[in-house]
Amino acid sequence: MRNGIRKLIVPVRTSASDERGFALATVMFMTLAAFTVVTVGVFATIQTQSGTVRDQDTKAAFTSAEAGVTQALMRYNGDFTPSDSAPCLIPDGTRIGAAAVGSGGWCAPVAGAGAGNFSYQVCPGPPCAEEGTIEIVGMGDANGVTRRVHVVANSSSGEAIFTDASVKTGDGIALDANATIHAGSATGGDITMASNARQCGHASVGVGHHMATSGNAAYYANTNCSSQLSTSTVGQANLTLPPVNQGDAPTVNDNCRISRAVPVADSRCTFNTSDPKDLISGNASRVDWNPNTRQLSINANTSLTLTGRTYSFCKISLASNSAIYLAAGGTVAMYFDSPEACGLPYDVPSQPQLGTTQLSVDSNARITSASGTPANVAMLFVGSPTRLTNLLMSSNTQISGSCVQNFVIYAPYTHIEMNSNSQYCGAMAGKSLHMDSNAEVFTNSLSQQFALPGTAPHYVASQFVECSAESASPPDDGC
Amino acid sequence: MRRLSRATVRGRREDGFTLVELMVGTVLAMIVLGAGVTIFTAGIQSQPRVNAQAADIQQARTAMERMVRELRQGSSVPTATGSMVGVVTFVDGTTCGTTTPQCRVTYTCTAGNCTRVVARPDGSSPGPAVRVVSGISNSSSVFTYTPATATSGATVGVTLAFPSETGGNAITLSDAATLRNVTG
Repeated sequence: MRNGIRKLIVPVRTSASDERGFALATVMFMTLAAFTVVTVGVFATIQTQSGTVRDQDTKAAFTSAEAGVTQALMRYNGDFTPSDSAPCLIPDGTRIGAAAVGSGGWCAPVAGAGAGNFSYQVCPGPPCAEEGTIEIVGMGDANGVTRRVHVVANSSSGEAIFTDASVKTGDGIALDANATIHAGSATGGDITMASNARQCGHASVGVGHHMATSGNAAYYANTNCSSQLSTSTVGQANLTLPPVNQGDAPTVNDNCRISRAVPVADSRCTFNTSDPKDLISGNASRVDWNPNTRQLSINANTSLTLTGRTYSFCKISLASNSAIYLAAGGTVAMYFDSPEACGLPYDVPSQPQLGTTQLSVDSNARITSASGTPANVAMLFVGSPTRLTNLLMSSNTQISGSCVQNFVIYAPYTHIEMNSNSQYCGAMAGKSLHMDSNAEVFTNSLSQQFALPGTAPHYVASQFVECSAESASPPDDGC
Repeated sequence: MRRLSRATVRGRREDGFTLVELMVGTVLAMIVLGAGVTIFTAGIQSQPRVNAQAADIQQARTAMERMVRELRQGSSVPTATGSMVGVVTFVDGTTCGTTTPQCRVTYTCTAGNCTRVVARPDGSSPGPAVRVVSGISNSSSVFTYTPATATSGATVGVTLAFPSETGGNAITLSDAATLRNVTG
């Protein structure tokens, strides 16, 4: 038995011990083949990855360039009021100081701070940028791949922005049911008109947008609705409405005059008999004023005459033949703070897309000057880029109805709704405008020249272009 | 004498391969060689297709970068479907006959190819369609457009899928851009 097993094992053991040379050659050959295959694969992968790496570097460089633009905008929006002699903001390591412009009106290049490899250069105004705008060229670098972007940013502060059109909206204008605009209009979106609506005065729509009419709606060249034009002749231009910078208006204002007139307790105010106060005509109990929430409500044949120059509100509601009068000859700025700062709820909590109404004028109410004499009034809505706000005029209401005041409504984030025979005279700018049921807008030449308050500019990007060349002189060449 | 005896022993021990070893070695070598020849032949045969697809992908990379760049600096999106997107964007205005630096650029993808057409901002006077991408397998679902909301800007996604030899998508290029100049 043992011999039988040995007979089986010995040949196998002998055979295994005799594999001389053969195994080595086979293994080397197989190793070489495997190495060749792997090498080819590695080279192919490297070639493929090189494109991916370049794509990543491109994106990283572009992102860095945008970071430069963002940093520049943040610095120039930091309540910096530029002077003519030193309009540039240049960091010197410990602080940011004002400096004069260099060649061609451009400020010196500024290297980026923080992560990323970027720099930016700013043109703070003429001759290399238009009045009220700054131009920024950001340049980013990632592993030798560079990208440049060019951004134009506008500010409304101190600007007479209604010189070319008295009605401006960012998103569009819609006119229905005999609504009429007796003024030049400009929008970044479409103009749609239906049911005998009329646009009387030259209009422009956003680039790539249209004026559309139906139901006998018409477009006229003149503000008196003469010389009908084809809707295809409407101009196209980009339109940006920069945000309102209210400065210190929420805390430094004339709201105490209202508190004294009502009167209502207000810890921020003195109540001496010699202190100025606004005037209430009618039943003072029908004026609801909360100085903490800055909400004003006037009802039932009662009027409030504002005698100050600067007011800060969160919400105003006028109803039932009530009125706000503006003292003749003065210049009044009525700021409406952002819905977030005011803590205002949505009008319909379950439908946030409808937004929050901040000015409601209803039932024969009006905002006008005390005696029909000229006054300069700016109603400035800070609004919110993320929460829609509304301005509503309805039911025979008027704002500057007699058209002798220089009224300006500037509300770049606010929808303006005019209904039921409401009338407005002056210049207005909003996010969007809808007019219905015989609503009308008029204008006068003085309101077109009205300059918005000259607070520290708040710039918002209005044009973004990626430049073609890696670097250039002047900095915006090739953009 | 002893040295000679050792050499004789070594010579006897290294006495060549046996028949079995030779046969096994030959079979193994044939298998390895056969596999190598098969791979080599397949490689040679597929090389033109691989080269063509590599060229398509490289072309697509370039086109993708251009698309995304034009979308990024667009100011409005008049038309958008899965196979087509039109954007009014900053290009050399003289290419579409306007004084403004903006034209409407429309990308359309059908039957595996994508073309680019430049027209005036209102879509009139379109120029010739220029093919910018070839060989994709997802012509009907190249573009995804998300309009601007109160909290986010308008976005266009671009996906270019290239088929594999055995079906399905071998390589997919994907990118997206938020339109910086969209106002509403």
